[in-house]
Amino acid sequence: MSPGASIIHLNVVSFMAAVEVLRDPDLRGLPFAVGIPGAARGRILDVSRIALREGVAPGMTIAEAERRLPGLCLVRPSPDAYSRANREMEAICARYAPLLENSGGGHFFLDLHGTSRLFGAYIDQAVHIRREISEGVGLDATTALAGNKLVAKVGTRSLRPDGFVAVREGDEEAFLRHQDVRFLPGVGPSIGRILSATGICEIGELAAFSDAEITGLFGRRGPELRESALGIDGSKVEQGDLTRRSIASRLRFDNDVLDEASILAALVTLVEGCGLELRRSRLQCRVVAVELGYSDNVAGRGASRLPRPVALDDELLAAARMALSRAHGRRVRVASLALAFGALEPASLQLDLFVPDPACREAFRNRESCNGSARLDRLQAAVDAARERFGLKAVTRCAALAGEAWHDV
Amino acid sequence: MDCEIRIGTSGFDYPEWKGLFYPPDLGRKSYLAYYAERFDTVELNFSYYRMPEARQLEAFLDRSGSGCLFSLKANQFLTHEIDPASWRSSLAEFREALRPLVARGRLGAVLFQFPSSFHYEPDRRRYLDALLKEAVDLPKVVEFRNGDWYNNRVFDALRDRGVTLASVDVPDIPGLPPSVDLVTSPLAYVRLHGRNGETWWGSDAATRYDYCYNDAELRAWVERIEAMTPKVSRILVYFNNHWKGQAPQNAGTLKEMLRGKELLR
Repeated sequence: MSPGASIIHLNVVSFMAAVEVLRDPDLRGLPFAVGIPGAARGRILDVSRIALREGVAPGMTIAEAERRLPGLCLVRPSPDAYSRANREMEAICARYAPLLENSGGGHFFLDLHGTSRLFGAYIDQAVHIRREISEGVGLDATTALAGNKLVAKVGTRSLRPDGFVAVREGDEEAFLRHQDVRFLPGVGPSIGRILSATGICEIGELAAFSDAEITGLFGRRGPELRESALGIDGSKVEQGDLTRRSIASRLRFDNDVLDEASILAALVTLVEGCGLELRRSRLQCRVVAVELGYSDNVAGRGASRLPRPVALDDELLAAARMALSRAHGRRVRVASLALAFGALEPASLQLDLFVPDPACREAFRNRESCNGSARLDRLQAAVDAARERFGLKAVTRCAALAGEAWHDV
Repeated sequence: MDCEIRIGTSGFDYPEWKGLFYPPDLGRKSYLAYYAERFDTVELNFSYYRMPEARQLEAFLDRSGSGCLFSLKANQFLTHEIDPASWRSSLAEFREALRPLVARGRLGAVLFQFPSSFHYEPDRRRYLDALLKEAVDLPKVVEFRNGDWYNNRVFDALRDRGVTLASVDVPDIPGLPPSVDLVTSPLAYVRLHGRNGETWWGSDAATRYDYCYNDAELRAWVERIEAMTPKVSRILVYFNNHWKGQAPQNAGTLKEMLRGKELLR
């Protein structure tokens, strides 16, 4: 492999279903789906390969899935186990890759550039990382090595559900030429409809268009799409969590709710989960946003912009409640709730050079965060340690225990 | 699934291996017997250049003990010099020659290795489809030297037909097909051609395959082979870097490495 081809994409296909097989090996070889049994508006979150072959797909309603495959085994989702498996994969990748992008759900981009003297040829490293994940975590990651993220991603998509491919630098266009055009990142439903209407099936057909043709078909996005079809991609592997745009989570109520207590309970749980992720990533945020999904498919949105970045659950929850009050303006049942922490920045003890805050000065003297009292910092650290060890629900607020059941989506 | 792994070389009848792999005083007629005591499979390439005969393969069986598996490279009239009017009769002749191997359970696979001039075009795709259907009763492996064939439609088609896609190790030079490990049938088939990029194009076959794998490169292959073991019932691995006896040397080292991981008895 030439020195430049150093980008790896790892993708565990049907990640939730694969983790469920690890938890219960009896599921191996069975048609099953991950979802909440008995939920009135429940949807399928993930499916095993056999269930997929039988026509059951993620996003389908549970009722529809059961109609298509009578006797379908439904497994309740285990978010903690998914999160743990993803972290274990990340730990293995981090041993080799100076740059690592964790997209969640068993998806990783790694840039191995500059590591060949340390760990050997990139192709051999890719093989080794894949094998370590298989042995250490028990998951089979479809793996592609290429010169950029785009080609690596098309590589894993072409191999699904499992396999390994290494595309040499310089061979990107040739490799993409006959791949299914739907594999190209950026091709969503609207572009897909145009492609379908025009009979374009392969990536190479897009690459062959002139400027006028591609712009005529796809508008301003056309030239960018053609660049992708040629295998040109300048995007970087975004290092760790410091460049994450947001930390977000969404849940869906098993039965749509109207009472404030249930909504607040769900909000507290989301704040605690995302807050732990925020602190684990050594980040803080300035924006907290909430989105309510009503039963009639209307969304309500609200956000709080904070004067200074925060990271502790108390502060995050106060901001989230403010955002919720802005989002929740209708007397209609709520089906889902989403929370996002935005405007992320690294958590640090960096003080303002010109306008030192007395509280911060004090905190710095005590070597504690300037974003909360020493006592709250210590309490949060103890709670986080317990949650890391025993799960998110080991320590929670009473408000989180009230109301209707829900599941992560 | 219990997986059987066999390691061998592409060809065995190399007089230049004398003193390197074969003892200096060993007669050429004894090469196969000597080889079969050390390796339990061999890939025969002569069948590409001239049509094999049943009696010839019968003689190979007699000289190779009871356990050695033979894989044969398909004749050039099926992969390189395809005549639409006569390829079916060529395949029938080829299949007839394999009869003794099939009868004694000693056929590893038939390798259809297509050249870089075999493009991913409708006529070629139709031919490949017809060929694979016609050879339905044989354990089939395809190797493409043209990278256009390495796409999801071909992968799906090979899976549907239970045809093996060879995993190949070649030099790191643009224009060669991508390195792919993809399980498409219960058989996995690995060909290691060496990584000599300087002599790959425009040289004779001997210098093209002049390469000796180092231990780190072979260890990476141990991991690639190991990753396939839960998904297939048999893995055949052949070293084609035959120049200066490097193929049997590397094959022996790989066997030891696999034994060390208890993947090989």
